[in-house]
Amino acid sequence: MTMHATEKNPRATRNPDRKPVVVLGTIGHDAHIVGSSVLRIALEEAGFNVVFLGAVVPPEEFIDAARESAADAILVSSLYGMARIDCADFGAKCAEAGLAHVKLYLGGILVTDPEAWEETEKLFRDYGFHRVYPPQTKTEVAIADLKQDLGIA
Amino acid sequence: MDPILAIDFGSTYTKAVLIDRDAAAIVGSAHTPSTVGTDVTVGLARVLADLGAKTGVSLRGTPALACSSAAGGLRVAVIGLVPALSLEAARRAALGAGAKIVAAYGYKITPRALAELEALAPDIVLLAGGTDGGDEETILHNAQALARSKLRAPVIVAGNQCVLDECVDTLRAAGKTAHPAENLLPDVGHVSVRSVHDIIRSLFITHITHAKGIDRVAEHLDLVSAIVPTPSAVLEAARLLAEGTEGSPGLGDTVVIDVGGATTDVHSVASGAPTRPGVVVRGLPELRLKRTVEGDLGMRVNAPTIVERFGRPKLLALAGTAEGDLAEADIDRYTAHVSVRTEHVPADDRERSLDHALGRAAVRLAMERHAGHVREVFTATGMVLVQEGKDLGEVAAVVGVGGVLAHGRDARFVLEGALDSGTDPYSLLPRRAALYLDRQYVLYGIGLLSTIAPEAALATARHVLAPL
Repeated sequence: MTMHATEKNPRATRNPDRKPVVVLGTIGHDAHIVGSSVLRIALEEAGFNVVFLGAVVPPEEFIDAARESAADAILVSSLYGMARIDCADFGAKCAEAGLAHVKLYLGGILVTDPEAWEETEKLFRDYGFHRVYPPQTKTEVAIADLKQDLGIA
Repeated sequence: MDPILAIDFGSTYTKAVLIDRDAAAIVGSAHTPSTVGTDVTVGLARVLADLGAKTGVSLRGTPALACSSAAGGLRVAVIGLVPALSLEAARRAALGAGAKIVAAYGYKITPRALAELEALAPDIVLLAGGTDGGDEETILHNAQALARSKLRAPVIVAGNQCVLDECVDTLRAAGKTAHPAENLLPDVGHVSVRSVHDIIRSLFITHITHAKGIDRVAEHLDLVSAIVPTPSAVLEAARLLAEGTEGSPGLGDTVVIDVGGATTDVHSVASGAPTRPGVVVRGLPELRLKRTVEGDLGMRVNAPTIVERFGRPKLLALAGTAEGDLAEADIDRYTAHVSVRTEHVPADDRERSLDHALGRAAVRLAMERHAGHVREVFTATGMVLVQEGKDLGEVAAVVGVGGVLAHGRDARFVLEGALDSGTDPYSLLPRRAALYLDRQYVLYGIGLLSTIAPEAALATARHVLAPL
């Protein structure tokens, strides 16, 4: 999608020691926190600066936190099957807030209806997510993708 | 007797209280109209003469402490990035330092906002934005805008530390006074106000009292410590009441509500952590010492807005209309009158009932805004309660200050507006707090004294605060 074209270098910084910043949390009316907690530890071990928002996070809070922390990526967890509602037009909301350059990742139990994964993935890619992960994805997979997308060796 | 004077240079009144530290008691108090507009020392001489006559104590050479909210108080403009994050952190920091927030801007400041800021001429500009290692662009843009502006106020830079020096240098190169501070929002989950508070306190002493001509009182008083903003003296009193001293326990979590003519101020000393099980807390973390100022809730200037916010039927019910002698039109007539005639004192029982109802409504609304709220969220695994703000349910003491409480006939009725009424299962208001009244308006003096003699200040507070 063209709205994710990188218009500015997100890591243009006066701070040479800056770690890549990722905002992480469980979106919507979802109280599951274990998945994102596990991912948090893995990300920190991999050298990321994690802005951890916890559970029951409205979409707007991800955007606020990403603006304030100049995040390179937003990682959204959803485990209760309502991602279709919570994540609608998430990419467009980010673009509106000046975050078109931020990479958007989504993972968890995204839908309750037994759709084919390809359709689910397409739905959320249309909502603006760059990467969409099915249940049981290993944290290493997402972290490797993240490093690749952010150009980190 | 070991006397000490505490003086408050207010915008309307200059007030003085003489405290005997040995007896931990108030010897006497006095107030006269303020003369800050002309010469602050004239009002001071009058109030001291009055107090000396009342108490029979010669006040010459008596050690003194003072605070001031005169000449507009401590007028601070706050600038941040995201309104709910760094801007909110800056607001809270300014309020906690006893300031009045005259302007607040999020994101990159516009030329229009800058012109507005120049016209407002704040005493201090507090510039925040970006977590450490986070956004650099916005605070740099805003520092450059302030550097180009005609503003002469000192700027406290309290944002992303990676560009702190660059912001400060930009401002100084343009001839501005800039003070580097620690980041108010070092990361999204933490608010850190101490460094900013220290700088505001020292600017108030070195610059602001001088600019407003208040430091001239130093020649006429034996000041034992620097003049502080009145709201920060009241916040110190709240902290002392809650926490006690090394030797004496305090009351526990405490709320102080000051119902004034133009604003209602709420101070809480409490963590605000949930008192119910299974609650998820959202939003910027709360400060243990929190001060909020409701600029639309006041007994005189802002009486009509209390009516608008609270609603006429509810207010009428509070005013007690068993005989049907009050109508909604009476409320509007009365509040329109007192908003202009701010010196108005209730003349009969009907007006007293109205004042009590307005006071209780102001206390209610100010407490609800200060505390925050809980809402139900239905998830796939059941209901979750999400709390934003402070849970004050277990607060032990609520202290009331202000004319409607001190001079009204039913202070308890007014202050009960602060308590959980039992009608809202998710109320965050105190459930069973003891109520106290600062009948003589001496809390500022308790707060001032606490900085040099906390034991005497606490003992005095125990004597003067009247349980309701």
